[in-house]
Amino acid sequence: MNIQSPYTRIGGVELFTFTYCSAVTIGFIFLPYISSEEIRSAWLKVIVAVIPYLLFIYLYKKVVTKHNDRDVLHLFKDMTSPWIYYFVITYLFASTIYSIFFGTKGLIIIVQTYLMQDTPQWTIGMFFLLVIGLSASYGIHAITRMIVIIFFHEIILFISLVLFIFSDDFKWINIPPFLTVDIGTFLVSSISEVTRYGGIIALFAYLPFVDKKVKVFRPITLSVIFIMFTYFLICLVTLGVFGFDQALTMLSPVTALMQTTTSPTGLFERLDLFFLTVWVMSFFKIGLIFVWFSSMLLKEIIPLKVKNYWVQIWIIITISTLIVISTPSIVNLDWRPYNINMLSYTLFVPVMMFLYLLIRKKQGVGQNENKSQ
Amino acid sequence: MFGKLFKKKENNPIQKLSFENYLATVVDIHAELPKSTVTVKEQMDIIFSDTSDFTERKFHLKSGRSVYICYFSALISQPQLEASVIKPLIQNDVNFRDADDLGNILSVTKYEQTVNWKGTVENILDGNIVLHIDQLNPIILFLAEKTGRNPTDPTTEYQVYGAKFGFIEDSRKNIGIMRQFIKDPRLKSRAYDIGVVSKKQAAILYLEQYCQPEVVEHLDSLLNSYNKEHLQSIGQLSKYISKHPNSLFPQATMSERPDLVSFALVQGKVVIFIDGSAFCAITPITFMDLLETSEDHFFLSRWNLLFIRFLRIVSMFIGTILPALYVSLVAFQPELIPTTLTISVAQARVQIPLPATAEAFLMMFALDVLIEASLRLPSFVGQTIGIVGGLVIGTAAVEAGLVSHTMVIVIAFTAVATFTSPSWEFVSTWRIIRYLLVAIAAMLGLYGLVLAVGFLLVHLCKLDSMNKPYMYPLAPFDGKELKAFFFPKR
Repeated sequence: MNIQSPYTRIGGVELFTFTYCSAVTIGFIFLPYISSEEIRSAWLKVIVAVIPYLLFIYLYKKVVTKHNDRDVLHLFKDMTSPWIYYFVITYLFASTIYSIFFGTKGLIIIVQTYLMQDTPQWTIGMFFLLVIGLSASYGIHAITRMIVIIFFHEIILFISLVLFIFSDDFKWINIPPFLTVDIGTFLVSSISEVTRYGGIIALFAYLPFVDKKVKVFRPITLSVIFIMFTYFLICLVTLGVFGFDQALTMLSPVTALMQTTTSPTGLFERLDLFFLTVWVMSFFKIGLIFVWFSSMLLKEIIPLKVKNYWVQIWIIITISTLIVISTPSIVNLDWRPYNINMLSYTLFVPVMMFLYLLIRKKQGVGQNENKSQ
Repeated sequence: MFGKLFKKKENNPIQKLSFENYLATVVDIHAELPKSTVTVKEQMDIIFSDTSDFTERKFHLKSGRSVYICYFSALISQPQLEASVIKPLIQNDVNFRDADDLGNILSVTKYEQTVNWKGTVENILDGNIVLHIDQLNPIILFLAEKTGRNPTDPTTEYQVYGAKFGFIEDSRKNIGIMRQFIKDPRLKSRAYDIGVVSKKQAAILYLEQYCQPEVVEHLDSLLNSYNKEHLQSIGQLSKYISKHPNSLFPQATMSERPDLVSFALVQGKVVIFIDGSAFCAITPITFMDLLETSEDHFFLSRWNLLFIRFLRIVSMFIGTILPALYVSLVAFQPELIPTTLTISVAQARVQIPLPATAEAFLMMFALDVLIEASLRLPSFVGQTIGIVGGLVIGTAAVEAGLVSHTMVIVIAFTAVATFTSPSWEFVSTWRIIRYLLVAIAAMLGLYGLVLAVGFLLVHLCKLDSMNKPYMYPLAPFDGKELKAFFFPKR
């Protein structure tokens, strides 16, 4: 007998946390000076960079309102030719795998730099992907609930960053933006910042699971703005504490920030290492989201029975593991190809899809008229 | 994947194991009993052959009609049988035309006519009496008097303020106890005979309009489909009704305290009693339910409740993670702890031949052995074992150079912290998880520990008890419920 449970719905709180956690991890840890495109006004750029994703949300809302369906992928499937659909889905799938690969490599760098210097990358990467695979097999409800529980992590980090502004190390003199470059250059260099919001692409697969009564675009927009505030705070605090020249040389400025606060007489001598555990958890969350998302995309490419959901997960895990262990360790992360691809598959392609769906007539409209003719 | 792994198999009852099959070799189990006492006695003698405690009595009324009575002597009240049944029958010379006339003579509270052989034999096994007057329908006299004890103090769930009153091993009496706590007609109960051979009496108790009706129906269907020969304990039944029986985490909790059970009933839970167990099972439960007791509400200040519950959650984390954290800090990331503490730990460990991981496993195992030994022994010996074991672990092992002082402190604090949880089942679960976390910390340090905790959280989020999410109200998030947990309304 199946008990009707009132607790299985995914509501606004879950949607807010999912959106936040799907985007914030990598951007958080490596902000602001890891990309080769950077200029000094990073804190201003992360604010500007949110605008395309607000446009993304606006168009998404328009599509959902017009077609009265939150499942954009299925809408696209129904309204376009199969070869275009499968080309786009395959591209999204490949890009998601690339993101998983890049995220895992990022984690390996962080762990090898700060926690386990002598451990080979395949051990770190394989264990990470194994745990992700096991956890993702539990399904989206379990993943969502876990993200909600762990959200206090993000709140602690956010509060810590706010407190930095009131510390003696923070100097306002380092903050004013350098706008010696022209606006065009500024905007071009902001492209790398735009990609920091790209994780919200996972909403494509997530929104159909959200309770139909929930007004979905309000929590999504709030969450993206909250992400923007978090990035803004990181950039502001990093610049305020270290200044531009010093921050430019750091692998993870946020980790370096934590090092400045640690008291040798406190409980933890190296608070930054404690915060590294928080980063690992953040990687775990975003890994779960992206493995689940890619499994949903794989289902679109190769339709499998719902019962075999775990098969899709383990196909993704196997592919990712093979790529991670068969590629050499990355000493200096080159973010440019990653950023360009991220921009393409999380912004350009979805926006094109939205525009196409907005141009097309609503499903069913006009069919009766044609029949009557 | 795991959902499929944990899915409960729906088995059909195995007919050959039931006593009906045995009975069918002697009589037609659905047929009415014959009106001749001689025939009934003959059949009963066959059914209960080689049964020394099966007692029969045969005598004649003044009118000459024969009377046949049978029962299990240890399960009935013999003085009452004599006073309420035999004496009135012998003394009154009434010409009975049908079984209903017996109500004017017998002074028993309840009796009813037999329906068929199956029901009659079940009633005899249940401690009731068959009374058969020749040429009348046999009747069942409900004069069962089972051996029982009076309610006493709960022996396992100690509380400071709670009621000094525990359940006994009789499910019906336990339901009666609950009726003293909740005087409401909506307090409903359903009875079952569980176990194909043991036919153990069980009952579910719930508060209508408080409890989700689907949960009651689901439990009803599960209990009716129980097809094993024997039901030994309430724990066995709890495992049977759990959706994820292979999970480490309990999906029902047990209690011997009526005050806690009444609190659970008002929260909309269903309670299962079985005969022979002084504990009942409560379901559905959540993670948070396992951290609260009814006694928490005895505090005059709400802040005490808040503090106690916060303390239990923190203690649970400490009790589970501390040994693994210690191993990962000592073996992988000693730079995380202050230099002076690192030096102290290093000095304490300088003479220790074992690595930190082996030290942790050794100490945890020794602690669990002590706990298990002291549980199985009588209380006076158990205390001695505890003291001797504590001394051996605490002092002798350190002096012998087997383990370090710091490890003793870590394990001792872990043990104390774990036992702040009110549920022994829950404590046992965390005990196993502690070993697993230490093993992972030994392999991958803090990194492995964090990922293991992450997996554990996802597993907890996947679990549900009767479709109620295990981590409710944390996830799915319910702010009002969460506030009520830490800071209940006045």
